[in-house]
Amino acid sequence: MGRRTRCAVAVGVVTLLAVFPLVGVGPYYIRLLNLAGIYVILTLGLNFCVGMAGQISYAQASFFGIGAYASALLTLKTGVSFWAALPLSALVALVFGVLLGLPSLKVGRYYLAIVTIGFSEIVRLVLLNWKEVTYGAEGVKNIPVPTIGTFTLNTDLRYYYLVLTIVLFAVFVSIRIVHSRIGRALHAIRMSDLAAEVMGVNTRYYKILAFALSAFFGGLAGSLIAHYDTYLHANSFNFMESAKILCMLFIGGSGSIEGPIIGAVGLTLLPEWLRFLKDYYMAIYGVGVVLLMGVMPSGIRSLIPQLARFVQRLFTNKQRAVRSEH
Amino acid sequence: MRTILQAEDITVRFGGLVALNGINLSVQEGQIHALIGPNGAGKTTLINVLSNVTTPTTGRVTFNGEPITGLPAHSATEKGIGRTFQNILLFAGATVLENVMIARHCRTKYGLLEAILRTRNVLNEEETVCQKALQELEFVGMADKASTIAGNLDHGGQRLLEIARALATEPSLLLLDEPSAGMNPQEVNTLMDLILRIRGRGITVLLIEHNMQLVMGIADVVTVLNFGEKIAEGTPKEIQNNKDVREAYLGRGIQYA
Amino acid sequence: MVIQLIVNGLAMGFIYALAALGVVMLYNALGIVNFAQGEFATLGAFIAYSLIAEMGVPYPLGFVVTVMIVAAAGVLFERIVYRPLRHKHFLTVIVSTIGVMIFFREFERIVWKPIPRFFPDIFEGRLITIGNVVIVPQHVFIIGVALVLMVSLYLFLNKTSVGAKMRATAQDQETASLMGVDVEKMIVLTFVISACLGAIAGVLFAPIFFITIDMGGTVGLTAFCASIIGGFGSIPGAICGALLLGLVEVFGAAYVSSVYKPAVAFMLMIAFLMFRPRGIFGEKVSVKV
Ligand SMILES: Nc1ncnc2c1ncn2[C@@H]1O[C@H](COP(=O)(O)OP(=O)(O)O)[C@@H](O)[C@H]1O
Ligand SMILES: [Mg+2]
Repeated sequence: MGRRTRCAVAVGVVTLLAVFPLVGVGPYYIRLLNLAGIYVILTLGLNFCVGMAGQISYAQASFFGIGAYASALLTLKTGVSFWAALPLSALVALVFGVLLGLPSLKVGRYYLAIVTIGFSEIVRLVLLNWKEVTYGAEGVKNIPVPTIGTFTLNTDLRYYYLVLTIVLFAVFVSIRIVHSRIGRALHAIRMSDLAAEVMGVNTRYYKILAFALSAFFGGLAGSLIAHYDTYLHANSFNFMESAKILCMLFIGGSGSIEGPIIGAVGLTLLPEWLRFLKDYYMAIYGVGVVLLMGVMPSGIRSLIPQLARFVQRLFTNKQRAVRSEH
Repeated sequence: MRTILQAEDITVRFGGLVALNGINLSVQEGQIHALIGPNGAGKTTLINVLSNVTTPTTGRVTFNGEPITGLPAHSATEKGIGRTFQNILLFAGATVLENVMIARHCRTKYGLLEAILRTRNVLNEEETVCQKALQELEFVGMADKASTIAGNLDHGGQRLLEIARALATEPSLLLLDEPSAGMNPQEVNTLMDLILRIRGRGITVLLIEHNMQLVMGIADVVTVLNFGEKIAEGTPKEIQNNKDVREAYLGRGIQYA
Repeated sequence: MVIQLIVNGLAMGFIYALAALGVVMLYNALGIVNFAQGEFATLGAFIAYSLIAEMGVPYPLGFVVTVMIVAAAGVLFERIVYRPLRHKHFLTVIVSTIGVMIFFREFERIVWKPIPRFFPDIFEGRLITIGNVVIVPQHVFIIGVALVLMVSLYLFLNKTSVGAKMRATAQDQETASLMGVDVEKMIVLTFVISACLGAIAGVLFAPIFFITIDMGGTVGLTAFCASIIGGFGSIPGAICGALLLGLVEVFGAAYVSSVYKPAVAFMLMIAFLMFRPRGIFGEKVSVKV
């Protein structure tokens, strides 16, 4: 694809996304789309660390939580506006990301997995018990809704455009990073830590950078959820939440841009389409993850080329059919 | 002649095992310097020390007069020490071109913010990355394989790609660990020619080799290691006639010819 | 008071030790860490609850049947999860294990409903009193059963021919297979033993707290921490690490605060990784180029 066509496709997709909720989609679905968008940001973030750099992290939900709490408490206690709290909370999460990145320099694989689980458990317990700051087990209530002048983002539809903006930002940043020396360096670390280092990649710096970027995106998503739900509880940011984001990443296809988007949107909407499964949904989901990792370890994304070929064949067949009619 | 690399009193211990024992080595600029010795002699360990992959238990290495011991491996690469691996260590899942492009990392400078904004500078640097990577592939004769997945190359191709990748880091000293291992005689001839052309670019070469024909054919200096000790050093002729060297090889009943 | 705490801490420690043994055996044999290990404990606790508390099966029989059922789950796990992923990337294996965890938990939620279950005390609330020291018999029972199991496992691995074959498989699968060991069978056996150890830990643990869906997850993660503290791959290390964690948790909760009890294991583990990465008994790992 040339630069022109790529730009045209991008403009088309953005327009579609902007117009889509206006045409007869109920508020309930818009809420789902908002959640899907927030998970896209989380999953694209986790993609830096796990997908690109190959460093396992069970801590994405913690950065989500840290961002959410930071944003909520900043607006509630210091009175800054949401628009300042959004980047600030992402930066707070980023600092914690750097902190969690440090052990990844010393340990890898299973050790790193358990360290990140430990980190997220400690974060959750601190959020749950540090009553003076976080309101402890009561949770944070009455988080202000963002406003632009006198315009309040108090409906699902209004919030949709805020989420969409941040999602587009996250996608844009991800694309730019993947196709740069930074993306190549992260990718190299995933393939071989040692080879990357010997090829001149400062693997220590880039591992920490990967964690920092993951955390930054996690923080953005956290700020968005805090001011959308207006209520927070520490227990939402637990191990299973991190596991869910990891599943989104791998089911979609890690290391790419489209994979995390497919995974996050798909797994947020799927329960709606599979409502008839009721209580069995999650159990089937668990089995699905196991089976998918067995047969399609690069995720749903690996179907895209086949799908493209299929569509192409469909079109050529149609043309042939049309031609033969004449 | 100028000394480009100086290793003094290098000792490496792995637990109780002494892999290198007080090795001194000096490599002169512009030469092809061969490092030979039986298996387990400590040759790879020495290369690991020189490329800062392994920190020696004692001893120091200076490169262009500057001490480099204890620095991370990527700074050695930045300073101009490139290397290949005995057990091929490619980015097997990436294409041949991507492998070489990754190696341009330390010769590009732009940071995160610039990458996101994709400034003019970024575009220029990226273009150079691509050009230089293709140039190196051309140089080793693999330009036609640029989009092949590295893991799918044959053995000889993988060894050549490792060299192209190391060259792309713009080294002034290139360390080659058994580059001819697993190559057929024809490929070895191409390799000999390639090493001479690398030297022709002004790059000093230190290579570990078991193929004596190659060593005797192109090396200016040969250093012999045995059981972690340096047992001889000299021109290929001198080494061929050295009694200790013959014993070291024949004593183990291994023929290298 | 102190003696009571020691007994309590050791009891907890032995539960972690059983689970940790399962983890280390799998790791030594196959080089994988099964993050779903703790789920075998939860499953064991729930099944034992149904058999013993609901259906009135006598405790010893219920115990044995439970362990057999969980062993079967271990075989299924090997077949369905581990085998297809044997040569896949480490991250793929990790995500697949998350799938297993979700499945186990949801299965339990469907069968036993998300209500905490209270496992009846087989000692019917009796206490052992020696002088002015009061000891909970379940704690003594846990320590006894765990010790017997550990000794049996040791004898099995070191004194029987099957044990020798298992060790050979753990050392080097190719060589073992050349020597005529049925490697596949030994791998399944390793999974079975590891699942059984988890189940036993779960049944022993059940009367101490409520049985919940998260119960085993906590035991499993603590067991990992214990094996890292002990020096990953070392069996005596895992046991010592587990006992240490049991004691620190109990004493910490008694004298400092119980709020952060769930994090104690992690904090201790992170401290070890930072300052003594080889653990109490482990050897330093180095990568060969
Ligand atoms: N990381 C390591 N840990 C332990 N022993 C090692 C390590 N690397 C090399 N050795 C040992 O050091 C000795 C020298 O090895 P090496 O340098 O690879 O020899 P060569 O390359 O000359 O064949 C050998 O006995 C080898 O087993
Ligand atoms: Mg060698």
